[in-house]
Amino acid sequence: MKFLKLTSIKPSRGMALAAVAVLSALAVGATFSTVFNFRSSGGSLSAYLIGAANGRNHTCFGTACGPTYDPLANSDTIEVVVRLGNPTNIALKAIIAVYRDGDTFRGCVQKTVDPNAYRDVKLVQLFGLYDTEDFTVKVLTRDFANKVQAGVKGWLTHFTAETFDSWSQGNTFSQNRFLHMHETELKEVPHEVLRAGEADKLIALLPDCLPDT
Amino acid sequence: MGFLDFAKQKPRLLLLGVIVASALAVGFTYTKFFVFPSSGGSLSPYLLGYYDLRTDDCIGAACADNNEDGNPGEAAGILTNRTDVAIDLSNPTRTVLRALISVFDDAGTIIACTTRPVESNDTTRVFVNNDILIPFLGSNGDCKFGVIKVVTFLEANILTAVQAGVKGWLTHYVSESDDGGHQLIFTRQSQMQQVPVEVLKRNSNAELGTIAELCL
Repeated sequence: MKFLKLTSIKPSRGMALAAVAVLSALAVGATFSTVFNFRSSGGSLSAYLIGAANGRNHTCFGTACGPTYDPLANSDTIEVVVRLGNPTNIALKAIIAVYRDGDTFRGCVQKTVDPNAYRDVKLVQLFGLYDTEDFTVKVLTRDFANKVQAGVKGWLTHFTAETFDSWSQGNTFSQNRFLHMHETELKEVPHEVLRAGEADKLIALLPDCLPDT
Repeated sequence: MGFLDFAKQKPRLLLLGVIVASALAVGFTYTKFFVFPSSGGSLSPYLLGYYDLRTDDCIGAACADNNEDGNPGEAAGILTNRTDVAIDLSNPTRTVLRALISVFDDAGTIIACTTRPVESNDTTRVFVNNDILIPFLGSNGDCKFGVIKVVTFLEANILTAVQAGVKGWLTHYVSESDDGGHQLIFTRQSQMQQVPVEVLKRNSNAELGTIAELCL
């Protein structure tokens, strides 16, 4: 397809103005026709996803605790689950890495995500994030030729449970039940950030990554 | 401020004026609406979500408390709870669409499908377990989990005209049983995520054919 070479047109102000106006109008029209006539005007895929995990096992937060409650009363248990789905037709390998306090590496695991498949990772159980810090979760996806390749969408779910004692046949058992949960999407980060060194940094973690199980 | 009197202009200049005025009018529309020009928003005919119908009362380290004998604590009342996932689809366009909603298992095999019309300004709600898995499989889908795909078509041309125009949300509901039945104990919500249409095209018509065969 050829494009109009504006520089080869003689510099007539009226003509140039008309060309710009016509092109502008066409561009607007083309945008709308692609939106509403079978082409997507959106959606996104990135090989680099990020999420915010909260490892605090508090039973309340901030002013929601009220004036007399100690927010550090860690009587409850938590779990944070990373969920990945692959809407493409190629199998991908995901590196799921966890950091805290800026750049402090806390753990890493690899997961294969086949086409249309679903995988999840329990971060607290796997990496022992059970303390009072916030964590950053990063996901990098690659194909089986080890090239960085977008193709996975992600979600992050926080679970909080409480323990309670139950009694049965003369024995006391400690049991758990959910108190609450919340969920959000893993955010997509532009691939330019990966190219600026982040991909190399994440791939360098591979020797320390737990294998897919 | 004076305005151009088009009636006095020669035909070529008049045409130019109309074109320029049209282009400006489009610009004015945007600046009037947004003060700052809009820089985003998106629509895709291909949405991805997930469902998790596992009925455990706790998960992972949230179950990790110890008994008096030092053994790990147990999840309370495993399998006594009920779960379902609602898919809400809203259509902000003026086009009547039809959504094909397919459900996969965790390994990526399609296991069920249904279809719903999504009219302009309409919100359609479908439950994964109640409205898709149970009718399709003939049994309860408890304990299953995997991805959900939604592909939208023009209602007038189902399967031949893929058309963007629907936004989606997912809500997981969990209830626990008591003597009187079930009561809701928590929910969580997130979005169905938009996948570029190029991915749908690359996935080939074979997959759409499989989905359509199950759905229609």
